[in-house]
Amino acid sequence: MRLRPLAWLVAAVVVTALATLFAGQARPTSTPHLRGQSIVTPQVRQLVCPSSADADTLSHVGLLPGTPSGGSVVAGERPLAVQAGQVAEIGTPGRSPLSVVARNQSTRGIFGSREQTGGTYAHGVSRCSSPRASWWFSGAGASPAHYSTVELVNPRPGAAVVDVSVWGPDGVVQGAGLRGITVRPGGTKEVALADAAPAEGNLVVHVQASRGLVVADLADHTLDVLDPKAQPTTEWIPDLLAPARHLVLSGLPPPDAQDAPTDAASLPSALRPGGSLVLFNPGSSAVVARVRLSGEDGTSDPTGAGPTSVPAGAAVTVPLGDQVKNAGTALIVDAGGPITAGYLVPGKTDLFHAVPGVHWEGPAAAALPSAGRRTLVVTADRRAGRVAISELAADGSRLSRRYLSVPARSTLATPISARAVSVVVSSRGQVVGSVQIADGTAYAALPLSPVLAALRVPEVRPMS
Amino acid sequence: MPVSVLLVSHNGERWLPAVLAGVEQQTHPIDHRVAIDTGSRDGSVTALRTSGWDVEQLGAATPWAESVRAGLARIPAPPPSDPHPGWVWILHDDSAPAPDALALLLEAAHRHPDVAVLGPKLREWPSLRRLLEMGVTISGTGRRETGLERGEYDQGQHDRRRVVLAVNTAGMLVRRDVLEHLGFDRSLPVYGNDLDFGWRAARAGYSTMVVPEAVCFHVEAAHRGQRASRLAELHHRQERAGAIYTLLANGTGRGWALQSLRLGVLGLLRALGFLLIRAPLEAWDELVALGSTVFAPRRIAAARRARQRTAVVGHSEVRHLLAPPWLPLRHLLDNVGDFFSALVDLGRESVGGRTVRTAHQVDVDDVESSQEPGLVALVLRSPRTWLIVGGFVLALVAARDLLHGGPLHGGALPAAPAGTGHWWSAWWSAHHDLGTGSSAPAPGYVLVLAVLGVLTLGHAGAVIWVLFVLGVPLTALSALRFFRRVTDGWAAAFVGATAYALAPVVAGAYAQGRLGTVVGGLLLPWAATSALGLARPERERRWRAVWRTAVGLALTCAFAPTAWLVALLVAVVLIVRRPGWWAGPVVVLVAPVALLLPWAAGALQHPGSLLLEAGVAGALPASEDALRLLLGRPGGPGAAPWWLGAGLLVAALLAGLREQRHGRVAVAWGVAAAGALVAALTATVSVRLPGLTSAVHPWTGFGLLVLQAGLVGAVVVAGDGLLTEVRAGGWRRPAGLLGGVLAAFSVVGGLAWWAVAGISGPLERGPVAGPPAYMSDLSATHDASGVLQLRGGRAQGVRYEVLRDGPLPVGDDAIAALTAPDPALRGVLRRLLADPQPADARSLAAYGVAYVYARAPVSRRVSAAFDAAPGFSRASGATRHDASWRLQDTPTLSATDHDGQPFHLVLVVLQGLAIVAAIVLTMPSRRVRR
Repeated sequence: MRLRPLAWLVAAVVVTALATLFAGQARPTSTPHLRGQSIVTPQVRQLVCPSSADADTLSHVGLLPGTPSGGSVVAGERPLAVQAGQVAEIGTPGRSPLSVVARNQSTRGIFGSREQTGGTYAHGVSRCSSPRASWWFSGAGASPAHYSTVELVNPRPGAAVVDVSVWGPDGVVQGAGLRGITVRPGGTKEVALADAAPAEGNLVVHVQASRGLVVADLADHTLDVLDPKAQPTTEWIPDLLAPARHLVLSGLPPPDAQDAPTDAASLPSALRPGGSLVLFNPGSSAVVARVRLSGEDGTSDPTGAGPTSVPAGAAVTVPLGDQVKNAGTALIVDAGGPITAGYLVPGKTDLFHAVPGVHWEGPAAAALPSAGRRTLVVTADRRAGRVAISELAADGSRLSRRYLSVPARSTLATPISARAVSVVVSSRGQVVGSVQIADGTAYAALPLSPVLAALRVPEVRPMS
Repeated sequence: MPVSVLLVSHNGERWLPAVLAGVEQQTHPIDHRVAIDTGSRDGSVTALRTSGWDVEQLGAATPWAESVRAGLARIPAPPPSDPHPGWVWILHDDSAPAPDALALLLEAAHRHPDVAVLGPKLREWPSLRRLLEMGVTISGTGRRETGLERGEYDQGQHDRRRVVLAVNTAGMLVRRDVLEHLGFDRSLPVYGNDLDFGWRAARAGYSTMVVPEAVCFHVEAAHRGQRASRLAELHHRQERAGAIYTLLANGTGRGWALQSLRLGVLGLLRALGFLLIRAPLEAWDELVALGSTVFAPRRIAAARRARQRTAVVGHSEVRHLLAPPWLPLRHLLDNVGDFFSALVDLGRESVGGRTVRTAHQVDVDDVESSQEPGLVALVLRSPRTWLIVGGFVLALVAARDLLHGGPLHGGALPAAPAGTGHWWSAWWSAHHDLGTGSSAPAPGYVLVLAVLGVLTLGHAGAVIWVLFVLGVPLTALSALRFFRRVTDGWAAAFVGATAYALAPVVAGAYAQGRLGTVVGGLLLPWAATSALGLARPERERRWRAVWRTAVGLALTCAFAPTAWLVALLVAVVLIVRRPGWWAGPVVVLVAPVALLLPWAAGALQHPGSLLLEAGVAGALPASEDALRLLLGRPGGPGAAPWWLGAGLLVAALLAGLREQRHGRVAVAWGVAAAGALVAALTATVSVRLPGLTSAVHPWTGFGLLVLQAGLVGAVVVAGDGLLTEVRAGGWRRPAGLLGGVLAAFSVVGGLAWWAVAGISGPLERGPVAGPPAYMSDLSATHDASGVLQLRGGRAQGVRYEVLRDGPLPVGDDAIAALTAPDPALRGVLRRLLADPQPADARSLAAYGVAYVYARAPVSRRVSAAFDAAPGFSRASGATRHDASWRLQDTPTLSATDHDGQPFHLVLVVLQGLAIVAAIVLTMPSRRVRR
């Protein structure tokens, strides 16, 4: 059909307009959102239980109930026969750290702890930790009467290079041999702060691995240097992951249970009878920290301990004395900038360090020491929380399962059965907690270890 | 001393009367007149007998030497009492001597008794004024050297007697005993026999002299194809074979092998050259000539033995008679000069609109030629000149921020590689050492850029710079050429070219680094101009237009493959309107596939890549509403305000009001519709390629450029001669004026915006962000020292790429887009970020990675993972906020892909042949008189 040119012209204009209209209306097909992270199950997970120079130790390694079979656990160099829900005990001389390696399915539920056995003043208990790059400890000492030892363990195949930084009341404490400490694969290094960086007062220690990963433990001791018969007390200082604006110190012992030295002069000048809160500000400007006590009735301000200014780069000790009235108490510290916090109670025959609690989601477990009265202490943060508590027997069977609702900003304590060898506490992230162990007049606090069933890793894709 | 004339004739009736009259008029008496006729079919024999010549008739295939020998046999021998053997004056049937020629030759012979062969000055017949030969020699390449300029007039400038190697047999006066002793070589035709005879005479101790006072007028009928004979039909072959035979038979024995090789190679190159200028018969002649000489050593050996029997002097004693060895080089320089002179003449013709006549075409009495304006005047008067000058000045002003600094890059434009050798290598190689190895084909535009790099002496950055900084004036020139073909006046074409050249600028193509649209816009008018020839009535010119359009389309598709879709739509319309001639449009569509091998073969496996233009795929994604699309704004930064284009659209609509131009305006709007349809397609689809982690959307820029081209075309064809119609009166007058004003507003506004705003967008000149220089330098020298570059972190994911020799340059990004990522490498990186083990570092090293580099801001997760991973140690970064690690394991390439594209070499060879064939087919045929 032969059309007039005008008709072709009109047709062309119409087609142009319609095509452009269509192009303008078309919207790009939705690009599927690319996940930023994915969940992977690690094939290998390592735990290191710290050594104890003063006493033998007993290590407890357990698997979370419900951990799939098909994995393996090796403690030291020996396979460990432990099933889901069970806890295995490994007695070692204690002079060397214990490395536990879980493979395959067992990585999804491994947890452990170590306790000192024997020794008059050795009541220390610590959890077994996985290697990482950064460790913070508050309340260490580097004087003859209050001294700490940093133990660096590298359980990984590659060498690790570590820097140890120490701060005291007057700022950074210079010391020799604290930088570029190389820990060979599978090796251990110890740094005695009293030798490397002698200083007075309560210290804050930061361990940073610039290469590789390490497990750092800090064994703290006090000693009545005036008493020739005195034995040193010992306790592992629980670590903090990183400075934060909001911290909860858990597992505090009651004051009347403390075997407090009657003579204050027997203590180092930095330590006072009763509890002392050690705050450290790693920032470049001073921050103000507010301290409150959290109990079953909510929070309260400790008497005589108002807002405390923490100078930049300095550790500040706030004596709290006997402000902690009962076992179910926690300290809540809020600051204007990231700080670290520690709470220690020196005793005549015991030394106590509180646990800086961390929020967790899912199960957190603790392998319980064999002796002593065990109490689970749970603190709810800004919002009320509810946790599920499972107590497990040695054969892996569940002794009990109950729920605990904790009001906001309150701390509740609940006893743990004497037959339980482990406790599993499940949370949705609203609470922090610890297990308080009381053995006569000796107290210790054991952190709850969030059990990492899987790793959240960034999604990897080619650049395009 | 008897003097005889020996004339050899073959179908020379046209010239014989003058020749015979010339002989009759000789002032010196002639004792015998003998003619040998070799199979003439005209009245040559009758003319000779009528003039009283002693004629012997021989066959047409009788060799020249035999003809002369037969003629010599008919000449009576001198009496024993005469000590002189006598002279034989050889003439051709197309060589007329001057009346005193013989006398002067004999006078010279008497004066120089040692000379055995003499020859006259040969002048052109019929002009009678131009010199042909005054003695002749031969060069080392077989070229017949006369020592004269082509078309040189005889002004006595060469009039001096001198000994030469040889003289032409037309008018040769030779002693009878010498002729009997040496004779002509029967295996040679008349071509080359004179040189061979002279060379043998010289080796035999005889001298040959040219006598300028004696004049002979020669038609050179066989050489010029004016003679009806088999010899004339094959004169090129015979001349070439004769020259090669003469060189090999008479040259030194020591240089024989080298000379044979040299002549063989030269012959093959000459054959190739003839093919390239579409003279296949001459090419065949070259090969046949080689076959009968260089590749016939027995024949040459026999000839050499024969010459040894008559030679009495060594080769060194005759060397001074040969052409100097540097003479072929001088001819080459002369040819180069002639080529550029022809270019200048072509430019003068195109600028001046007239044919330029060269010196040998112009008579000295021609007054007009002396009044022809000079080249400078022609250039200054041409509007094209002002378009070029103005365009270049504005381009430099607009690109003021891009005139200096580092490499040009940004937006969709990666940086150029260090040199064009990278592009050549990418085109040639079946395997590419980028990333984890790739066998994907290089994009089609890589070869084009590499060829352009020859002009910039291998500087790749200069190629890109020229395309972007000077792209607008170059596009304007290209468009002007097209619009001048479709309009009668300059004004409309000028405005149209400017408007079209501004289209990609106002669309933001330059600012966004859209290499495909920028270059595609430059090439599109060339293809369109060639396409105009598809309507030519002459078959040969029509097919030439087909091939030119195909080449233009291939070049455009190399940068903007969607141009093929536009061509498809146009071809469908052409075939529908002229179903009888479908072959041309089909060839136009199919040929680019061959010309763009091997990329086309690889792209067909991923059809989506045919919608992506040159540049980073998916860069600067944008979308716009219909109005802005219609006004040529595809979206993205660097585009001009949309309202600047409204005038052009309105003017294009008003173009339909001009009734006389409906047809052509409809064609222009048809092009616009084709562009709009392509733009609609690219706006709708999303493309997935193996090397892209997410679907990307093609940029609609090129389709909208075609749309704008159609609008501009409508305005131009309607505006051409607008003033005439405006003065005609009626309601169309204000409409036409309005359209013109609106179009001018768009153009002027666009120019002003371009000049003021400049190229403001992601495109920039500066250092390219990438790994530290020491890493790039190391990876450039060691293939197994690549850099794993990381970006991102925990929240948005970690992206990676393996770089060798710095960030991916132009061309490599397209290869990477067609290359599927190695899943094993991705797995290694996931493990490194999750739970690194010592084996992971070794696995990474097997991919030829020596460094890991993360540019600031560095994710703490990434930093912590590599700090913790065994097998890595910290290295220095470009800034203190970057993070770098060095692998402690020695990197290898054991895990990379080493496979190459199958049949890549075959595809490259096919592409080369297709390109050569297409170029040859685009050229006009060489008219050869045969």
